Amino acid sequence: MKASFPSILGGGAIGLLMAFLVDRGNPGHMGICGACFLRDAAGALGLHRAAPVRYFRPEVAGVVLGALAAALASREFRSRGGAAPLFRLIMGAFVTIGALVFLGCPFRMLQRLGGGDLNAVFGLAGLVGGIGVALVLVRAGTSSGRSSPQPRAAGFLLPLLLATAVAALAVGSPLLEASRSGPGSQHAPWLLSLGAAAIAGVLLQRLRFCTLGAFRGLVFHRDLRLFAMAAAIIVAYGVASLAWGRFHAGTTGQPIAHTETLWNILAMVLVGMAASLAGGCPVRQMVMAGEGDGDAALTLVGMILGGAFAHNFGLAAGPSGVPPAGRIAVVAGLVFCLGAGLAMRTRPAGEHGRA
Amino acid sequence: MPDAIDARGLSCPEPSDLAYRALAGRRAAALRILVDDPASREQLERLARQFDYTMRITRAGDHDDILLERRGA
Repeated sequence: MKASFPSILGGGAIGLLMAFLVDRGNPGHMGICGACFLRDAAGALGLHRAAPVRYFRPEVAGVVLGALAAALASREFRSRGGAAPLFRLIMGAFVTIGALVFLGCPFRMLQRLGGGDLNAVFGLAGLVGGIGVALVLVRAGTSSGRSSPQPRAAGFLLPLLLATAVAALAVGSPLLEASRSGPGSQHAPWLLSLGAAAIAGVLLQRLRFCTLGAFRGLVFHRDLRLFAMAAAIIVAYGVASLAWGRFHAGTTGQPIAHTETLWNILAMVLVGMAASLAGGCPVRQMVMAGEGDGDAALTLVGMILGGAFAHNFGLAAGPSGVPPAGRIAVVAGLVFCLGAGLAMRTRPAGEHGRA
Repeated sequence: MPDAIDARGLSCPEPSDLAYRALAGRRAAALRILVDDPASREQLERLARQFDYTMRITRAGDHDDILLERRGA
């Protein structure tokens, strides 16, 4: 456990930062949520018509820019891309659709667990199942392609776009729409959001955190380091929530959550599968995009599109439950990911590229 | 001749799972693996410790050329 100590400390700090953002105005158990925040970004850009979920969350830029700074400082910034880009974009869209049926990306799932939301336990079970199915596919020869080095400047494109958007938000540009009520209207002051997320971005980059990696390590690879970090996020978030009077154990009355167990499970199976095939959980994709990974940047673009689809086509769940279209979308997503995964086999089972 | 994996440019979980199956599954006497991602390199370090392999890293341009050898093999 010696090597886990910085991870546990870092996870604890991240959990506290998330609880702090909620205390300062973010929606319940939503210090940072990859799927919800990219969906909110889609709304801010006018890509969907759901009035309550529009706000260009500075946290997205904060995580990416924090990871960029950490990667540059440690000489780990590498502009790269070209590994099945359209496949990753589509996987990104399905990640958001699944996450908006569960109501949170895997990173928000940790915060929901910490805050006592027991619906998230079912989400976690589904997530582990999805990670397992994707791992079976990989072991059967599925590959999401191989990236190659790209011009260095290309790696700065997404951070630059996000920094521009935050600048637009800071000066109150009318180009970005913002909700007047509902979750999109609930947010910490923008500079606080940006700063707290940037600190989280540095920690997430240095400690290589991925929510999928945490549970894959625990269940399939006998590697507990990232799981220890995930546990620290859950515990620190829970303790801070308790101190701020926001901890409430149970399945009912939870903020931005529903109690449809089957769909909590199946939606997160989809998220686990699609995010695994895209190479990481949504927050990890933000970090990798900051490290210069153009495929991760494109996965995030896919997530924004998925957020727009989810609301334009009535797929997203709400506190009252999952709409029929959302159920159909989850099943269609599962079938698509399984089929695409099988079709993406590039080598016979068990074989691999020779060095 | 050690088992060899070119994991450059592959995304998670491909590099770590290929290595996990070589070390934990097949107990390969030796494994040569090329990685270009610090997260994969650190995972290999943990795998090597856990399954009792020595690890030699040679920096080769934009990637690491890593040789893992089972202790006592």
